[in-house]
Amino acid sequence: MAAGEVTPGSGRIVRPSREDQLVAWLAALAITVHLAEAALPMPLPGVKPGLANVVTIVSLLHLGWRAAAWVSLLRVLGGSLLLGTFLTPTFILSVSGAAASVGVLALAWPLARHGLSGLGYSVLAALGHMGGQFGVAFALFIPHPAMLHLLPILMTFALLTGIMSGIIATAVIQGVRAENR
Amino acid sequence: MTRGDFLVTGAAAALVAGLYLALWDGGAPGARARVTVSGEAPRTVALDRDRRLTLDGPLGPTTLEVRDGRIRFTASPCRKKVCVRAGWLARAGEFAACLPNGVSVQVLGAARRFDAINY
Repeated sequence: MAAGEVTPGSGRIVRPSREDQLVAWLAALAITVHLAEAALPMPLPGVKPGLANVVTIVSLLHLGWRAAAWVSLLRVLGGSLLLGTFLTPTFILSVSGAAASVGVLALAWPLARHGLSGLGYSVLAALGHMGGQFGVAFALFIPHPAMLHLLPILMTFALLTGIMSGIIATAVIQGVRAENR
Repeated sequence: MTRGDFLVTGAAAALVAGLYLALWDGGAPGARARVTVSGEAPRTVALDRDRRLTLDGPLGPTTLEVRDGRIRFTASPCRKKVCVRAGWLARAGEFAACLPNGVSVQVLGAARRFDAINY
């Protein structure tokens, strides 16, 4: 995160930068989406729309990769505290999914020059999230060979939800840009 | 929607298709099965030789059939016949049990691992 300013003389007062404040707002928004989504019943374990991903992608395109990483990890932390899953297996899976998707975005972010828009990043983030989450679930919780049969289905959903949230993210970004013009 | 997006989405779709091809091959065939009757030590049955097994549980005899590298319950003195309806077990990790009669069968794979771990 951008370093806050340190005021000399009066102890160390760290003043949050404009970007810090934006990150906090975006993380709060992502937590709200995360909570709303947690209330939806889902047909298959491990599958949900992943709409909080939209906020991560918007952060990425507006503020860059580091901000997106902060928003994503703060969302998992804040969401888990509010849902009461902090430090449970659910939380571990959430963190590994978020870390993997942020890692994939970190690798893909330098490709921005080659013309990836919100859709491309969103698909990458969704697949990264599912891949990381599945890997940890398989390694730590359910190391049964039959689990692997579930992976293609989960990845299909990840692709579909990635495309969906990518479309939403693109629309949001266009809206924000029109607003700022 | 940019060219990059098309490329990424296309590559992602190819990856997913590849996963179906790679992981839905049915799993490794098992060479042995472990048969357990409650109260007795489990025993290992090789699946390469066709035969019928009769096991005595608390309710009576349960019969298993081994054929073509597969194993199944053919009869059991239970009411719902869940074990018989489970059909043939051939792949490593596949499992069927007659709980009323305390008989279970699991096809063994190369490495024996846990089904699930709960904390």
